[in-house]
Amino acid sequence: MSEHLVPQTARITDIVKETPDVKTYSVQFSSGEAFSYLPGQCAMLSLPEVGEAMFSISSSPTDSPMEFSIKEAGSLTEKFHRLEAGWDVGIRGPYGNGFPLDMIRDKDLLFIGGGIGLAPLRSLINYCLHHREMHGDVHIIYGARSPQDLVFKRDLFENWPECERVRVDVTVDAGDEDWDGPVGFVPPFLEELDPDPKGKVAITCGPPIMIKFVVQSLDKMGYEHKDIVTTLEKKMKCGVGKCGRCNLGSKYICLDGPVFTMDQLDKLPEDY
Amino acid sequence: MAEMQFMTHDQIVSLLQRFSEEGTVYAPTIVEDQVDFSSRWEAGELVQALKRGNSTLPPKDLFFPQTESIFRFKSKDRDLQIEPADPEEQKFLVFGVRPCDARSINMLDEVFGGPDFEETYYKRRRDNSVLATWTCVEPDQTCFCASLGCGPGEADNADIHFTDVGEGAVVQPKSEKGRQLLQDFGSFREAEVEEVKAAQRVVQKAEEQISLQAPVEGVDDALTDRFEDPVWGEVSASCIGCGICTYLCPTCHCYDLQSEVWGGEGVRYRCWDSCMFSDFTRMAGGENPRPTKRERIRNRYLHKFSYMPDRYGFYGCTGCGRCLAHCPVNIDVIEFLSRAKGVSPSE
Ligand code: SF4
Ligand code: FES
Repeated sequence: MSEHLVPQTARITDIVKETPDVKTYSVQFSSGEAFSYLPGQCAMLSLPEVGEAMFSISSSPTDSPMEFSIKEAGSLTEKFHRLEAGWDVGIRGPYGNGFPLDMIRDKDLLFIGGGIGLAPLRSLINYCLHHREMHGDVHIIYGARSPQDLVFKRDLFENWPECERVRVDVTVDAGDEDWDGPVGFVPPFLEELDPDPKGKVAITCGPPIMIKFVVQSLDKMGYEHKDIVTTLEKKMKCGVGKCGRCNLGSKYICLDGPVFTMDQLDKLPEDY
Repeated sequence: MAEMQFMTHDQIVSLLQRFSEEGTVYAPTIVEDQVDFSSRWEAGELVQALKRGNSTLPPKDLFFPQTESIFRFKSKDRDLQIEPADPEEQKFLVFGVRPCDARSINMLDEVFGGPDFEETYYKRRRDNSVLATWTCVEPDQTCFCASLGCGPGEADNADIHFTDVGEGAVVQPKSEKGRQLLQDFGSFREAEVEEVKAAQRVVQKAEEQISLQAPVEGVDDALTDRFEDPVWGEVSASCIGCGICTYLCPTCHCYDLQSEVWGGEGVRYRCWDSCMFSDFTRMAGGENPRPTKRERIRNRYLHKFSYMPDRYGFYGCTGCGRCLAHCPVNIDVIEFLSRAKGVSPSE
């Protein structure tokens, strides 16, 4: 039995600046052997002098290296943003349940992301595109505050639209002089596009307030709560349902989540 | 070996002393007029300490210490080195644990073990230890263990149980570890029928002394769908967020991980934390799902009386009465339970 709170070390091999406050880090385990994981699972990344926090893994397990997209929000992520390729970090995981791969099998998939919330979705999107025959049509709807806040631009505008039976729609809350795409918040944009709920699973991730309105829109459009999947975020410490920090009712987000169907969330207290 | 043995107080002390040659004994010790579990217990004062009420702090920290090192790290330029802390392999005996606290350890076994994930830190200490319990001859005013399926003479998960009958104690080994302890370190004889009966009377008398009752039955159901109930604002109104209730609680198990750093190296350790503190759930960006004491007390009570039953099948309360006795603003768990169930408190 290993000491589960002890991280391994991993080296940052590449850093991509996605937006003014989001960077994507590729990591390589010092032991040479990364842990295996599922789309939607998370890992604890640490700079032990500063701290440790949970991040969703933004790469697909079918790709390597493992990637994390980190938004600058506090002292730990601030320090991350000052690192360069070649630096070591601590890593432990994987944590959480991941996306319900059985449930989405053979379904059409509607991804709805906002801001940095595209990170966990990207893991699943790339996974599904790798196993293309296992799913139906893929529709990705994504929005960010402004054009410069869009993450994974290569995926959004090059990689994904080139794939078979994939449609990508991107909106921004407010445009700039170079932006000639749609402008507006994600929920009304989604309603305007009005993707048919038949045979579809909607998977959404973004700021809590966006998720709330996206679910309201999906309700209007006729999606059932068992067909809406989301992934939640809370402060975490242990990752294994012991430190008591991340509970939502009797569930621990680190262990029983972070992925839930709306059906499941409806039964839990609104403590997030 | 017949199940019921008898040991004089001197024989008990010498059992502990013999065990001390191979491991550590933690026993009730009077320190600054308060009872604590300590490895520096006094042979001459042991009986005296056992006669007092339960320890101020539960013995939980012997299995789940207030702080413990997890790993050492060294970061030099770009390189990071991590070395796990040496596991503690020390054998130990905890003597004089009250039945309610033994029950809480039973609960923690489920929490730190359980089907989802087993924590080695806790498990190692449990495996290396012997749990010796002691009947509460004189329960405290604030004890309500009887309402929680526990009692002053019951310690189902103990390795060995002692009931004081005056000049000595009737001793009941309850597990292989307990039997082994007696065999290896004890001197004892089979208990006389009269002594066994005397022990039963002690337990019965103690049970009769417990008058405080908590209306817990069905409270988990009564709390369903009460997330937005005004009761939370009311019960939390006077809370000052000191965290004493969680600090003294034998079943609280929330922890934090922190680093101590000097130069480029340091130690990562884990330490107790409290859901009553405002930064417990505050995220890096500043959002906090439990911004006021209303949400925090709500989570604490629901965790004990709704979430734990749901997840583990038991209430996360043993009726030890510590939160009741020590909350500086007299927030009363029994009063809360009574309100939640819509009955008036028994006392
Ligand atoms: S001991 Fe009392 S005042 Fe202190 S946090 Fe607990 S309920 Fe609040
Ligand atoms: S992070 Fe510790 S319980 Fe979820």
